[in-house]
Amino acid sequence: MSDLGTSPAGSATDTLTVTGLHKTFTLHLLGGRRLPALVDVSLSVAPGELVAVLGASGSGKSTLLKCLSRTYLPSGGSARYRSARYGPVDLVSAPDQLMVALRGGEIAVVSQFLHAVPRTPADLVVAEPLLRNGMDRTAARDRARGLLARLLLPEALHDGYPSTFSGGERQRVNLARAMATTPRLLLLDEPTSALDPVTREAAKALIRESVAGGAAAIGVFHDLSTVEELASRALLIERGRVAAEGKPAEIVTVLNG
Amino acid sequence: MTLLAVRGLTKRYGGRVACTDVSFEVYPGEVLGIVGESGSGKSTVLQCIYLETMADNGSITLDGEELTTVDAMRRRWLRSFRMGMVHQDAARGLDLGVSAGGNIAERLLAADWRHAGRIRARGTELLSRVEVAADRVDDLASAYSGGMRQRLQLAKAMANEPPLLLLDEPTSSLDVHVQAAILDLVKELHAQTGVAMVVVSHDLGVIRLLAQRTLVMYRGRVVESGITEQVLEDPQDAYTQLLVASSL
Repeated sequence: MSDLGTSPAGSATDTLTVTGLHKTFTLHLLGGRRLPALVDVSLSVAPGELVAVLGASGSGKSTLLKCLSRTYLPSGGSARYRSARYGPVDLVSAPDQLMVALRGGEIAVVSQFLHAVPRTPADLVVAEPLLRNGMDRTAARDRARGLLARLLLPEALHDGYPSTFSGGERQRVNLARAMATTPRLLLLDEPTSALDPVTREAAKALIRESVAGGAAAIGVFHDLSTVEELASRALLIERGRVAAEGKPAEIVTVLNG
Repeated sequence: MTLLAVRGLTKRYGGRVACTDVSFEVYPGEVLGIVGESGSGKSTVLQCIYLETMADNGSITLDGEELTTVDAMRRRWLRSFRMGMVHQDAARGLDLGVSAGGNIAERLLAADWRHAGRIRARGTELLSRVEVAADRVDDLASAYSGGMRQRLQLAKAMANEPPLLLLDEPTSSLDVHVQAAILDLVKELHAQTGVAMVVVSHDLGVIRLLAQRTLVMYRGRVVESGITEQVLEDPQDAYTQLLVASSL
């Protein structure tokens, strides 16, 4: 049954434990108007688990992911992440340079829209995090091309510029880049929204494999069948709060009802 | 693990305050952006670090060494071995009346290179790294185009492989396609050498492309700092919100 209200406190083995996360935007250009986007969000994700976040548009799903990746600065609460390299880290208050380091390897962000780096070929965009982590150029490029091939990006595009790609092609570059470093925490914001059914299956297989390999994932997906296929649990967010939590099928029913 | 630490840096020109109480760190291998409009004090901060102008207050340490109190000889050494600078106006970073090779040789001579043939070979190698053809080594710097001058400044700044590179509006006076080529080159140099950089620019596009972390300066003060993506997507300060909302 769905557990209304707050989620259970995380266990010691969880990869991520979010407690009382909130985010209010202050719009100085509009006379300091305050816009509460997340009011109180708690959740936990264990290794090998994908938690789907559901909710109407504007409910705070993307804001939650962006607060966890520090693309947005959270207003309060905590997000305890167990880093392989740095030990326990609170993603809400970690120093900027630590967040930069985590995002370059352990934490992967797949956003809806890739801000394409100009004049950088697709395989290099994907290989870049590997190169920064010290992998040699040939090995990094091979791994990058392997990932792009798995996502069915035509080989002729591997050295093309993503800034000239279609939405679906860019999205695959984006996903391949995120998966390149074998991340421990995946933050997925509609990672398959622009893909056709065939490439979407390839993308889902890659995500499933990463989670089966021990990654913890939080995902927002626009189609509910993907949620039921990939997620082990789901949360329903309403007006910046967790309104329900449970099995994906249950939450989908709550959402549709 | 801090490479550069700036603490409480303040500089006045006469009665006018150029920068006040500026503090930040740069870690080895990272690219820090400083963004702000003209007159915000961002170039003054770089000039203080490069010891072109003396800070009135505050401390600047590079690998633990206090820079604000060094003598002229030590300053010359630091600028040859510990940091390089690329100016917006190439005339400030280059001797335009001297050949490209000669400009680089100056840095190598400071590093006690004495053998003319080796200096020439090293100069050609450095220029090839910034994609300047070998047959242009003997041309006067004044005969170089704007983009080529910036390449030459980069080669000169990197001549003795310093751990810190300071870039002051490196592409602001260039045509758009030349600007793109120079930015690509800076990225490539960073990827190859791992040199830490402080990039000052009024252009959010330059900052987005190059910097992992960013400081925003307004009227001489740091009003905001954060991961570059956060500063651009969720700016906190009223001025930064205006800056981001105003950019194309």
